[in-house]
Amino acid sequence: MTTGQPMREPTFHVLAAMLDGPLHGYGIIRRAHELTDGRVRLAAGTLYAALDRLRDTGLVDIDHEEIVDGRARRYYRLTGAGREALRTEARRMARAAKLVLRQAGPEQ
Amino acid sequence: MTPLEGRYRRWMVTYPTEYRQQHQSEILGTLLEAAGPAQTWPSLREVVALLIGGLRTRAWLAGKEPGRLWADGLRIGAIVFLIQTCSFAISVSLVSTVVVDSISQLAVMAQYPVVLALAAGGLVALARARVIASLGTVVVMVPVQLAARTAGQYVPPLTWLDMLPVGWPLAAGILAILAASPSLRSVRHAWTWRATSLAVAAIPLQTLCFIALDRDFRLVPPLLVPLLLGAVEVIAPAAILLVWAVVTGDPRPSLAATICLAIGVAGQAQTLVAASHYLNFQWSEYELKLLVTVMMAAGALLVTTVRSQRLSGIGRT
Repeated sequence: MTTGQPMREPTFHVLAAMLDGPLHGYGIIRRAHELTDGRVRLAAGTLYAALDRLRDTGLVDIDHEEIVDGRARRYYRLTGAGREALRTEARRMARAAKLVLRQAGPEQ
Repeated sequence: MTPLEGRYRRWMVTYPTEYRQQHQSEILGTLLEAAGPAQTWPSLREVVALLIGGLRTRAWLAGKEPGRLWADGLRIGAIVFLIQTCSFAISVSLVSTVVVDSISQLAVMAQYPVVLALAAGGLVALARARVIASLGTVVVMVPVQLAARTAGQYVPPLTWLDMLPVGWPLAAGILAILAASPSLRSVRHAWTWRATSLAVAAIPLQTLCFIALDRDFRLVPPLLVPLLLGAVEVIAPAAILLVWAVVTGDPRPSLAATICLAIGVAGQAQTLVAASHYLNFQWSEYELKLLVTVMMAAGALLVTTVRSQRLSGIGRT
């Protein structure tokens, strides 16, 4: 992240959902749901607020647009900076998890 | 358009108009895809996310304009102050039992309709982004209140501290900052008119609270009176603004809450110091603690708000 702060959880899942390629709004919601085994179900209001900020900071861009049932459907893709930010965040989370798991000892 | 689409469309009311024009169709498409096949009513989760998402989008777009967050925060603070002043002036005019039998009492009582007219005028001017006109009404208020208090026959006589209407110079200072800075003054948006119309609904509510407190004054334990008055005047409006700030990540309402708390604390401190001139006055430890607590809260809030990333122009994704 440009600010060096941890990413918000919805932002992390929105970025992670696009790792395999461009997706439209509902595609991102569905993919995030699958990746988290149903734990995360993004609401549309939350998703688009995150996408606006991610586009603003250059982590996500519009890949292409199509018209479905008379409606604009935009597909979003990760940019190089977005992929790198996601990788950095994942490393940070892995380090934090490793620290806790080492301190907590083996599972009972 | 299906009933579900129409209903979702209505819940997108918190998004800015220009944003809706560009993105409404896409967001509606996503909402309809995510809905169940037989669903005809929006889900509560989606509705809440839309309302908050709209407010967050407003804050995000406002942060892109230089000076906009400061201009709006100061303006919301001044609007809240003017609304409180209207409520107070209406409640005093309605519940006052003073028999006007002298010129001095007439001067004291006559100030409230004038206060109400000036505060309402200042509110309308500010809502229409006429900052200098609003500043004019607030500045006129200071000599009006000074004259009324000077004319009133108080025992013991009032000192300069009792007579100074402390909230008004503070409000005038805020408006003067807005008026003096071309970048802040030039910020004009339609939201102020709509938001002020909504906020005006607080006037009858607050007026009723003031009247209820005045009527049941003797039924309330004495120690609770300053707390209840403080709650109606300062703490409730500041709390509403803070909830708005926390839920939407918008620094503008938290700046307004700081102003609201600062004006409230200044007024309360003046009342306490002025009352201390009376022979039978006793400082209540409870009142002092409340005052100090609210003062510290206002200070902490101001520091947090000013240091917030959004106000210093750095966004967090």
